[in-house]
Amino acid sequence: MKKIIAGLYILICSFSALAQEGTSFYHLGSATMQSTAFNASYFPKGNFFIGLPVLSGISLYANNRFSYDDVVIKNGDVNEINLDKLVSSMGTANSFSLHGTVSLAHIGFRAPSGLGISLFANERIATDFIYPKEVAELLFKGNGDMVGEEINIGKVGASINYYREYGLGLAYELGGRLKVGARLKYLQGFVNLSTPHNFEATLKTNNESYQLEADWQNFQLRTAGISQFSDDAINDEDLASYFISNGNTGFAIDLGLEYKLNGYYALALAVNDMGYIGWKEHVQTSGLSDSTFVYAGVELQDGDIIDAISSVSDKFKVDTTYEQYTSFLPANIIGSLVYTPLKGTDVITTLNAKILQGQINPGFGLGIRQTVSPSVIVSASVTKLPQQFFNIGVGFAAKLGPVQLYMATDKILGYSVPSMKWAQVQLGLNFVFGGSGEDSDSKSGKGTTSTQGSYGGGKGVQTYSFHGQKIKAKKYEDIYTIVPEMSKAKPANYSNEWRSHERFSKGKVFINSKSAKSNNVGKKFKKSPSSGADKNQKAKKNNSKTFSGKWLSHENYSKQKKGKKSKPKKQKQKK
Amino acid sequence: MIKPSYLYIVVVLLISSCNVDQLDVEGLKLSENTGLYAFPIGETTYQLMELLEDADSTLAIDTDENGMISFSFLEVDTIGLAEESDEQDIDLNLFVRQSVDFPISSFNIPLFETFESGSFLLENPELNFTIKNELRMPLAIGLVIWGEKLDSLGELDSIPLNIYDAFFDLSDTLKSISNLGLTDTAAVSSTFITLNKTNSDFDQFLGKTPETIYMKLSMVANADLDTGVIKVFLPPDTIPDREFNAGAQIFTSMELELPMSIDLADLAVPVDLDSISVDVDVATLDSLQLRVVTYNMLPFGALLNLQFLDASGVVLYSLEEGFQVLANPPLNSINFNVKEPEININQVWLTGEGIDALNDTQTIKIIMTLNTTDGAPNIYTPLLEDYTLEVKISGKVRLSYEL
Repeated sequence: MKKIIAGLYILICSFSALAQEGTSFYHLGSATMQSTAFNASYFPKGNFFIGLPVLSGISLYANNRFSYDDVVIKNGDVNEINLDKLVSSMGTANSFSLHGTVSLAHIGFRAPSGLGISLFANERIATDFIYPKEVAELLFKGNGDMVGEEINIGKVGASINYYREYGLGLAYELGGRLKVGARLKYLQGFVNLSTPHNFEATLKTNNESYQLEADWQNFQLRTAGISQFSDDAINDEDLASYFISNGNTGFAIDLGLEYKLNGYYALALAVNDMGYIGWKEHVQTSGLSDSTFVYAGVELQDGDIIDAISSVSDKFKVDTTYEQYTSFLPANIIGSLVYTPLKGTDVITTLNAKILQGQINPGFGLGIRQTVSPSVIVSASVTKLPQQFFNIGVGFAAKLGPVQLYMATDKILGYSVPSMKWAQVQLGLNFVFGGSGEDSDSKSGKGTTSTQGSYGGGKGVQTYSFHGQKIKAKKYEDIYTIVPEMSKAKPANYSNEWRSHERFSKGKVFINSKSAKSNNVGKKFKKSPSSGADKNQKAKKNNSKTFSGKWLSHENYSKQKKGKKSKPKKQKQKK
Repeated sequence: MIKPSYLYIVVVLLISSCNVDQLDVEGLKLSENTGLYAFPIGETTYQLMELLEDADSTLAIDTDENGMISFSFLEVDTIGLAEESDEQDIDLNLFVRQSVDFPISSFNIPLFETFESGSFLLENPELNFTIKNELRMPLAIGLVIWGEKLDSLGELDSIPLNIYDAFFDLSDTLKSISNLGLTDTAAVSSTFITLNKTNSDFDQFLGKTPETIYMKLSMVANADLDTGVIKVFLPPDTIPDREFNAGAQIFTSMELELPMSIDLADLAVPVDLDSISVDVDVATLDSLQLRVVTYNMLPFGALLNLQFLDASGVVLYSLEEGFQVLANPPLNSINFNVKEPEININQVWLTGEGIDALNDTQTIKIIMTLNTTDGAPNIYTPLLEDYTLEVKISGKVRLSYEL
């Protein structure tokens, strides 16, 4: 048993070596428009969305392998960076990451067809530097203890990207079980410093004679948008113009989907930032020619040390070119399994992988989402972020009128500057109009699993399915959608059980559309002696049986429930 | 709904895990670092033939049909006996036993200069003399050979060559040489004399690796006569059997033949690396490893020792004991070819004293101690021209330094 536990721990740790930030925010589901950055299908509820510059979203993330306390020791009055401690604090793979996203603006709306459409612009900075411990050991501790080992220097990579993305987001629900989304992004690059994704280099100290054996391909450091800062000929106007528009352009795409497996489980999968930027302006590439060489020292018979050194130094002659190049964005993949064991509660397991410098870095997160009220969603997650121990993170999204506030962090414990290795926060403010106060699908009750939010139920949606028939909304009143009077004719395939609810189709039929799923309505009638929560539950179960073999969408399910128990009373109240 | 107690727990955890410690970055600097660095110093492949050619340009080097290397040295001289006798007031027209001395001749063997001590036994060294005599009177030669070698203290050691009595055929350790009779029509009479290890200790003599060999030659006229007896010819009562033909000369050639079938016993071969200046701050050196890898296709093994000498030649530091750098490879017992190279990897660490000595070191003396046949005595091994030695030298150093 101990072996199994130890094995699982190692598996999780290894999977979590370079996980991805923002898991707590991601576990809020489709609570905000910013959620579409994680899964393009997570279009939030509402009809119309506006995000103002900066206010609508700031995301910051910093992660380093070691903290100040890990490497600094006090020696008398002097604080010393101890390289032994520095190296010993490292893991096999290490990275330094500093990511930031500032939302410039977004606007979104839901089309009558149910298609969620958004336009957005973000300013993004992503700095990643990855390095294996063995390279640090080589630099600081020498190769003496690594004789005979092949050191993979090609695992060192740097990527600094500062760019702006302009995007069009689309999200749609197909057949009630499947949500799909895509975000197409036009990228405007400003600054890049990167090593090629196909950079490969190894160094080996021969264990027999200590001869140094090295080879490398694509040993380059590419920069764009940096040289201009040291160019006196470029004035402030040029710089301003450059940061508005320039020739460094690219494209990227995010794809996402969510699929409901059954009443309890849903799967979500997203692939983000698949794209590139072609760098053309102010580019400079410095590097070494592809080479393989063995340095065995000087020729002992009449050898010349100067010749030996110069033959080696020739290999390290840096070539500089000014040709355009392409850098790839660090793409990531996120997959989740959502389990809804209780009403309003979702348990989410997330696996993700970030592709950085051609290397796949998987991660892991486990979280719970609770719909506290129609306007408030909270999440708590345990994540294993890059290089760090397990962390606890929280997030919330709350709506006050049209203003939606959100904030999430993957780290709520351990805020001590000297020992801090990382931090992550994401917060902002959106304006959301229409579809207010909707809760998560799971809030509607057991057996309606999805990842927060069910578009297709909002007020902006004018087509509804009622008892299998598509009907058009007539008008809206508060949380209700009023539809034309329905025919009293019963579908032939309706069971007797279903016909027992026939009374609800009398007169004008009110369908609590998006909000019909809301407990805002249900709660009121739960407390009603005449409706009773238990009865509701029974009815729900009965209905589930009635429609067995045919997947019961959350929306329809809610309509039946409300229509059966709650709607008439609400209708009377409204009247 | 979340129970309030859970929130309390979260808040308490949050607060307890935070503090307000500040980063103390004033005077922040890198501490002294210690690193261990391995690096190659150099490598080469030695061809034995080339090594020997470089070692001695005085001796001619050649190979026989089996590829065995041999050294040789040839010196030709012409002796004007009349002139020398005149200078020594000797009247050769008087037929009496009398000796004419010739200047001491010498020649160097640079190869032997590279050997400091130990034994370098050749299986069949020979010193061959060819004397072509135009004189028509009985002659004999007296021969004294010795060598000299600088010992480790810089003093000259004299090494005598012991020529056994069997070599001589006349009294007073003389060796007769043939001469023409008065009636002979030939121009010269030739005599061949060989010194080897059967009539002398020539192999032992060379085994002591004399750097210079000296030879004192004297020529005794009328060596067939007893000392003090004057032979007079009074025609017609007596018919002369000799004459002093004053214009006659004696042509000598001396050839040293050294076939390199050898037995090395603790033969010390020092190599001085002069003008050493250590550019690195030895204070940063904690330890230093010298590593030698050899692919030996020479028929002998070797130990290596190191000495650090100052400008006055004083030994500042010496390894306590040598470490093996050459291992004896297996040899084909018939043709003495090396079956396969013997790979030897060995290293030695210099610590403390040795590293400190580097400060004042001007010369690093590398002493190779060679042995054939792994110490078995009197087994001679031929040196073949295709013998090679591949050497790779590398180092490992532990440094303490401030970045």
